[in-house]
Amino acid sequence: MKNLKLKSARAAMDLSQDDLAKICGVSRQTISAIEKGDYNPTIKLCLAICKALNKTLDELFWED
Amino acid sequence: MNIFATAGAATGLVIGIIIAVIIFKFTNTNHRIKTEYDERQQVLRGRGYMYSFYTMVVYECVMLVLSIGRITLPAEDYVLHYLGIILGCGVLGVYSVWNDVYWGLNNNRRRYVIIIIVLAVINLLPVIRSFRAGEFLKDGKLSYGFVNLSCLIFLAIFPLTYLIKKMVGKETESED
Repeated sequence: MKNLKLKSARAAMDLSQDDLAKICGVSRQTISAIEKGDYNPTIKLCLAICKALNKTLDELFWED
Repeated sequence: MNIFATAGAATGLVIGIIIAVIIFKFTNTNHRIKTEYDERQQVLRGRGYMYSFYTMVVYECVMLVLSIGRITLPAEDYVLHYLGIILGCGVLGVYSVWNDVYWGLNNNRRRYVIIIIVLAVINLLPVIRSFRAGEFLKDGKLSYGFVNLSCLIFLAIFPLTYLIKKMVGKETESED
């Protein structure tokens, strides 16, 4: 399932996938795979993404 | 193959490893020998190594069965062993390119591409020489020239896989 929350949060901060990937220390393709729902990140990476986007785990990764 | 040829091949292998270490140090952006991968890349590369391992096991089993049946292939023994290694590495490479996990986080892609082109040229020269001299076959068996040719094919499958991936629309485009 696509993670549109992550995509919109990233866009809201005016960050490209590449920018977010560099902040989190992963490849751009990994961020793309998370947004497309092709990859389930570990809690460590989820936290890194949340910190980079100033969001909580619930806000980005909890399915409604 | 006599003892001198074996010693020469072993020396060449050691020198090759030393050169590879120097190249890795030079081509990685943080000048570390080890290429760094993120968690998704590590998982997928692990799967790639598994497929590569199974490929080599199957290949060696086939070679074993042929050997037990005393069926000789039109290739020197070292060519057959080399083909097994190339096949295994090829599976890992294709799987890595297909799943966007070929490049590590600290790889300088431009430098790597230059090295791949240089390696292709280095392998192309003996292939041309063997082709001209008709040395692909030695006593009816594939010989040294074929080793270089298989290396060229091995180097070519990475950009080829990338192109096919792009053609079938599997390329992970930036969704910015």
